[in-house]
Amino acid sequence: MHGASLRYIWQGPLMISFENVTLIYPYVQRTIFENLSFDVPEGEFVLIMGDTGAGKSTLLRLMNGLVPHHTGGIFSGAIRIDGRDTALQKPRDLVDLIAIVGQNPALGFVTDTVEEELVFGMESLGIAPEVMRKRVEDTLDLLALAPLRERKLTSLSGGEQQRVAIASVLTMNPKILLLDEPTSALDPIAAEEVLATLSRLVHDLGLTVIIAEHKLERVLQFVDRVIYVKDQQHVAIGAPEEILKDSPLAPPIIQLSRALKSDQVPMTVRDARRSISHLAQQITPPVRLSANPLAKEILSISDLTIRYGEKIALRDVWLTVKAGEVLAVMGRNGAGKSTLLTSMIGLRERASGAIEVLGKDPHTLHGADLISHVGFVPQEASDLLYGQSVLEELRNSDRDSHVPPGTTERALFDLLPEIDLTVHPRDLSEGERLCLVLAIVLARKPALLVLDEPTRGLDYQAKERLVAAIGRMISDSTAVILASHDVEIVADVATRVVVLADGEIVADGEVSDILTSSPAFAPQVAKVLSPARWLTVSEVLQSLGENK
Amino acid sequence: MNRVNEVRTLHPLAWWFWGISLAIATSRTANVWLLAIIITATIVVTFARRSNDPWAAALTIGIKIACVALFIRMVIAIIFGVPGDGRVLFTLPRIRLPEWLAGILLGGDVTSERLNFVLMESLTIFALVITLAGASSLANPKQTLRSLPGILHEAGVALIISTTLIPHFAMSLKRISQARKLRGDEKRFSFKRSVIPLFEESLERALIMAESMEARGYGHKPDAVAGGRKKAPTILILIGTGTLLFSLLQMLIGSRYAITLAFSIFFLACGLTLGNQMNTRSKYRPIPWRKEELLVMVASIGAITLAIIANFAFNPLIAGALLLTCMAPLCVTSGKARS
Repeated sequence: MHGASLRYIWQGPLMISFENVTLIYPYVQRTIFENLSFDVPEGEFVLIMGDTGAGKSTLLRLMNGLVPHHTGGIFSGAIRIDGRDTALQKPRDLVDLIAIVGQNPALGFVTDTVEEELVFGMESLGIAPEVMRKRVEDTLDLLALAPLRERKLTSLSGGEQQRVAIASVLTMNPKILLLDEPTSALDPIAAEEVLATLSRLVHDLGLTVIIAEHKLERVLQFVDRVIYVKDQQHVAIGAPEEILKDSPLAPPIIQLSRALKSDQVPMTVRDARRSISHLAQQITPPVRLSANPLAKEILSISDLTIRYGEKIALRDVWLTVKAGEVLAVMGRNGAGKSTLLTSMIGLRERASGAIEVLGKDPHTLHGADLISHVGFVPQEASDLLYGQSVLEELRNSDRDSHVPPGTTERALFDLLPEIDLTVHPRDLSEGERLCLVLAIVLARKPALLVLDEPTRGLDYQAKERLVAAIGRMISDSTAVILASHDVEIVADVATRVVVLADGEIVADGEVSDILTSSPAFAPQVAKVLSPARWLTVSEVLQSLGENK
Repeated sequence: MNRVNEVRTLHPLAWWFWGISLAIATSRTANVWLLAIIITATIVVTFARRSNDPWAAALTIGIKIACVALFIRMVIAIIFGVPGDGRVLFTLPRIRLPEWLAGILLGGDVTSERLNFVLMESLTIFALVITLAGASSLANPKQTLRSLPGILHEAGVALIISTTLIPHFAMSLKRISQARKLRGDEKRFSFKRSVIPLFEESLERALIMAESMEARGYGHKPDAVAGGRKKAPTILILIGTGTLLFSLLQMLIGSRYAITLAFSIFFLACGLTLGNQMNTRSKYRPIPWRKEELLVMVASIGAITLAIIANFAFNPLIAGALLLTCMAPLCVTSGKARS
């Protein structure tokens, strides 16, 4: 189980040590971990990766004792954090040693301004006022939060909230920082910012940072070590190259390296450019299919303006989407993507302009009529769920959308072959929940499918299923619109990209044009193989196949 | 920032001291004019000094509630007849009630004495509501709880968080109703599809919050405090609160309450002092208690004294002094209250 990691000459004192840890949740009859042992030395940046629902979050929370102190469960073995046994101390008494930032930091904020949030933990610990004053200033500087100190937490953007959450635990001077999917809700730039900050903490302060993350392409370049949670019995730990050499989970650059039959395991775009880009010299990118200009118009938005009080969320937006198109809406957090998407289903009051889906204003549509026109998957996919079990949801869906019994179930099994129908929807992992919601929405075969940030918390397999589902649903009478920060998924499915900034459309064009024109939006494959206009690994594979 | 030009405002506890003092003053007087002075002073001070934050609406809401209560009280006083002497203003037709309700009279003579009495009584309640609402719209609730003695702080944090529940509830309800629309649900209301998700979401939110607080050291007790002594302040405060309630009861039924009250204050003081000594929490940038706050405290005690001296009668000199003391916060502050 121990990966012999030779990259480290200096092996510091052990920060975290797991000894034969077993965790069982008795009520759901599930063994979460069995006989797990590993160590993490001081000052490392560690990534926990694994499929959705494999237990990454649980592993993180085992480390600071929230599991099982807070959640219950049968626990055996020993976890030592800097020599202290987590079974003997409550998480609140370990805060000076180990700190955790949850998946959705906004839900964990206790106070309402940035500065107050930073001192909350220190006040509980009874740190002297002068020390607090000093640490607040230091932390504000360290995380570049000084201009935001007086701001209300609700007014911050996603990246800023994430940084405040990190700052609020850093003030307690922990030696270990745990983060659960810190970048999943962030746009590429904000994600980069957060990860660079974390990397600086590791290098400058000698902090041990452990993060669970799905978007490997964002984090791999920073980490020293990877813990791969395959399932309850198999947890591997080792250097990134070693673990990723043949793991089914791999970021696009490693998939590209495998596709090009290279035995290199590049971690960064730079590595890949040096080691494998020459292998793709002989092949040329396939021509992407563009939408048929004569296709039926599914959605037309004209001169749309939407305000929230004084603030203009969308300004004079003109947009048409034809059948067969997959439109990706991109832009920073807060650029107006969600507003644009929710306006398509008539959930927003318009200041001016018109929206038509198949010639009808979604404002005037209700019930089954509305959902056969537009299927919408909101950012919080679980909003759509209210049944007490997956099976109940499926039956409700069949009834609501007047389709023969079993339709939704089939749609679900297409997306997620192994799912326990008796589970409560809230107990599913984020990715599984999205699949369920997607199945419910697709059961009605809407003409327009709208997805708001669908890849949050999804692993590569789940993303592949999503891509396949979109591919199956798209036809000459349907269109898909998705808002996403995830450039890889956009490169995979979209036929056209619209970029929003400050409520205005600043770019609208073919995927290959838009994605290759800006470094923030470029997928990894494009970065490695530029100036040739490749976007995805599957394109490379396709061309290689044709070449033979 | 230049200290001279800084906005002078009061410590939230000073606002509360002022509000509660005026409330006590109202209960010690039964003169329409004196009550009117207190009400006017509270309203003027509050409207001049309140901020734009959500809690600043407390006074407006308080006025509305007080008006409705006054109105209902007057209507009841007119409809339900009470036999008695006095100058009859007008007579309502008497309604016959079945025999088992023989004790209640509907309609009949309405006397000016009775109306006066009821008006006085409701005006006292009106003033009480207004003074307390005034203080709550001026004092930032979070700052107030933050400035409480350390031992009460944890309860305070719990209270603050519970107040954030209502806006979250409203947001959740909106999201859930939108989601129902997205699923093609056309029914207006369904317990299963609206209330259950709301409860589930609130529970989930509460768990995340609890986890986050736990992970940030909330409720952290250093090992130095021995197990047995830890509980001493809590027990003392409980005894103090119990005797305080008992003395209030004695006050209401008109028996002697002074000794019980003294006991309760003694126990509460002991409990709070001991608790504060053992408390290891620290405060970040506490709000200072300066001479303005002291001035307001003195003026507020003055207002109570004046109300007692006035002894239910109207005296222009005392009325003038009362107005001045009630307006004291306006004189020593400038600008809006803390947000």
